[in-house]
Amino acid sequence: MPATTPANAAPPTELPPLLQIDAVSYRYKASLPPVMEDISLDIRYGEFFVLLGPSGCGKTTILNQVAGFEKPTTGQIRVREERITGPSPDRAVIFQGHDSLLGWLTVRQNVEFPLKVAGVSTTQRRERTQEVLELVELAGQADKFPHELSGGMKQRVQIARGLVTDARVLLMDEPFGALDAQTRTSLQLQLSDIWERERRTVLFITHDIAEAVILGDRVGVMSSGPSAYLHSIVDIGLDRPRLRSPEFNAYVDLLERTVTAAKRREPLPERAGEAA
Amino acid sequence: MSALAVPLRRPARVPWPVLGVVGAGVLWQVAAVLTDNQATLPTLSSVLGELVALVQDPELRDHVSSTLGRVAVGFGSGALLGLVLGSLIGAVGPVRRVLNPYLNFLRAVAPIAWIVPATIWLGVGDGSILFVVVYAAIWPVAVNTIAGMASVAPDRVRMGRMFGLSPFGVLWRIRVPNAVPVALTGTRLSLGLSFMAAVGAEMIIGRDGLGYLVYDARSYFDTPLMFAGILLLGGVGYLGDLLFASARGKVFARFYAGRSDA
Amino acid sequence: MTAVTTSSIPAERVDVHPARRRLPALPAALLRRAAVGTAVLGSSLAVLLVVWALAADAFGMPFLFPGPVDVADALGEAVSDGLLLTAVGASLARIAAGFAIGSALGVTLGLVLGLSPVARGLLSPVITFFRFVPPLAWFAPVLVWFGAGESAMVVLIVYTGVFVVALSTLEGTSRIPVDMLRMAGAAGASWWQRLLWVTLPATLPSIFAGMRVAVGTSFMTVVSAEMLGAPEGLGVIVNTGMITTRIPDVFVAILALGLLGLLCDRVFVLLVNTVGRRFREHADAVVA
Repeated sequence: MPATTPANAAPPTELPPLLQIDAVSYRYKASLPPVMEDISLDIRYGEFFVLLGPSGCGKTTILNQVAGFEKPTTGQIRVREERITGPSPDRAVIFQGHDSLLGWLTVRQNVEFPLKVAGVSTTQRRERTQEVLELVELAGQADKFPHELSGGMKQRVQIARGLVTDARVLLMDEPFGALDAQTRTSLQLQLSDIWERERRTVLFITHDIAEAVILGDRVGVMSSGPSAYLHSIVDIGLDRPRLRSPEFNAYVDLLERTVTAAKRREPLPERAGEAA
Repeated sequence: MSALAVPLRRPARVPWPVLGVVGAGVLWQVAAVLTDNQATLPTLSSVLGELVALVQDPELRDHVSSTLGRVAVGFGSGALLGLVLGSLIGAVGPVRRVLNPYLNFLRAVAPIAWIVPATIWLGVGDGSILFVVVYAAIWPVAVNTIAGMASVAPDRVRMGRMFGLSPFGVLWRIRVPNAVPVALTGTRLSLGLSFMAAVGAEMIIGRDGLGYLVYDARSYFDTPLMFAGILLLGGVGYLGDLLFASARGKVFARFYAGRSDA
Repeated sequence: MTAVTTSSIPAERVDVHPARRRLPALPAALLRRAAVGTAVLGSSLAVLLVVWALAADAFGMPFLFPGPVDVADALGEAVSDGLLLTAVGASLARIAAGFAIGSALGVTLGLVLGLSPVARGLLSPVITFFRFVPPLAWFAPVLVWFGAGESAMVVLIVYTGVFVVALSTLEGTSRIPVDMLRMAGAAGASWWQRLLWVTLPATLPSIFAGMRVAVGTSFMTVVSAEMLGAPEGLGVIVNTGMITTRIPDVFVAILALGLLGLLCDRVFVLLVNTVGRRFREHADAVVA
């Protein structure tokens, strides 16, 4: 039976942590309660970490801070032991909406953008972009403009853009939230596949429990806010690709109970007589 | 505009606007003293002095009130005409499509060009100036009203028809209220244009008003007076716009409820 | 495509398309629409001319209220004299120069204001104030500084253009989605790269909107500037008409002004819809 790890237990010593969130909290104004408080989390190399929680629990704020768009009020965030001070190409971001896609550039040019900024030569850019476009299965749409694409395709463009550099960390802010259920499912499986091939470190935000089970190695469950805290971390011990099965459903059940408890800001009740 | 980390503690609020105005004034004074030519660039002090003298002069008040009177009457009637015209045209699709090119043509002609026919028809004086002001005021309001009425979300119209509104009912209860914010934007614009038209017409007709005052100053090479006039014009125009914006906010607030535009 | 939303950008075209998303028009459908439009225009013009002729006849004073024939006569004269062509050329040259310089300055100013809160704070009151001073009011000082010549008139046109373009550029910069700028930051862009590759292209729709208005205001300003003193130009024809009280001539000038103004506007829109296609607000929208 899968077990949850209380958030304050020491992480198992396998790979060293890549990303360290250390006692982070955030307040908009000194007079207001903090959005979230004392968040400490280590994310390991090559791990797919999902942060799950209700709206208002500050999970997007945490992502913004890891990205470097905002500074935490207290605590620090470190990547490979170095404190972060701002955004960097090392932490690629995939945003929730499509606003970050440059409408006047083609798909190919959008994906190339980080390489162009970094000054990579045209031939190398082309090659690398083509690789990545094939990975997300958008090679046929490469010369179209974003407004000609469906929502799911636009998110794939963002994923491609996130993968095109050697960014160590991919930060994904509910990227599939605005899509219809079928597109969402297909993209989740695609992302899972891509991740298995590329093995970047991913911090993925969502409020969708099934999504968390499909994608995450570990799932951090946030309590409700204000003063939200990291309630527990669940290890998902399933093989990929994760298709519906009794074990899958057991994890979903577990997460549901955890989320309910987290929303109430209570510890997870022990359930007597539970089937293993 | 910065995509970088936002510091949490906000720096002390520097009164930039005040600094800007003061800075501009200082720059002006320095430049004027350096060029040392009152006819080319009068010092800020002399201009301000002139301005004060003007304000105290009863004759000036007459000029100001003439101009303001013309703007008020011309803008008022022009905006109203524009609203009526816009509503009539905007109400009927085919009418709108037929009249569209003519409206755009008339709109493209500078109002001031009409001062000549107006003078010949209405004589030199208030009549012709008013003609120009009304002409300037009417088009932005009309065009915006038409556009506002045409751009209602289809679902709203469908909703109205579903509830049994007659075509006139749809027009009056759905299209017209939808057009109000856009029409008001056009009206605000037309206030500014009316002001400019009045001043321009006064400069050409050359009898009285703020426009005449500023234009006349050039015959005596009285540059400080010219500048004082310019400051006055800017001030009056700015105040007028401010008044309009606040009045609009109070009177028509409910037409803007839930909208993202100001 | 739709009417204005801010007071800095005045009304746009009357023929607004409804909020429904339009399907891409086939060439045949487009041609048909154009044909119908022309037919409607042609017939309404014919009706207008007839009504006008009748009214003018009834009024009976051709020099006060000319009919279409009188205006056509005057037009013919002006064209054969070469007067109209010279006037149009002179006016257009001033407009082109003033518009180009005004737009360039306006975009620069708008970008500076958009990117620097300090600049915005410092300059806002000054700009808001001078925005309301009619360009004509500057006529006298401009004459003193630039002499009575072409430069004076071009400066006045630049003046109107700068404000409109700067204000709409500024508004455009405020509309750029935060995520777009964050993405640029996350990609590691320097401020220069961000400005050139993200801010500027993203602001172009607003810049175009402002420039379009500037075309219109340039026309308006050129007329008043010319009416106050220029050797040749359309405004001069208007003025001469006043002195000689020959209304048909004035009507010819007014006709020319209106048509030219419309033409320039349409050409601008055409340019935006073709060359500037990818930079439009919603890249599939057609600027009407």
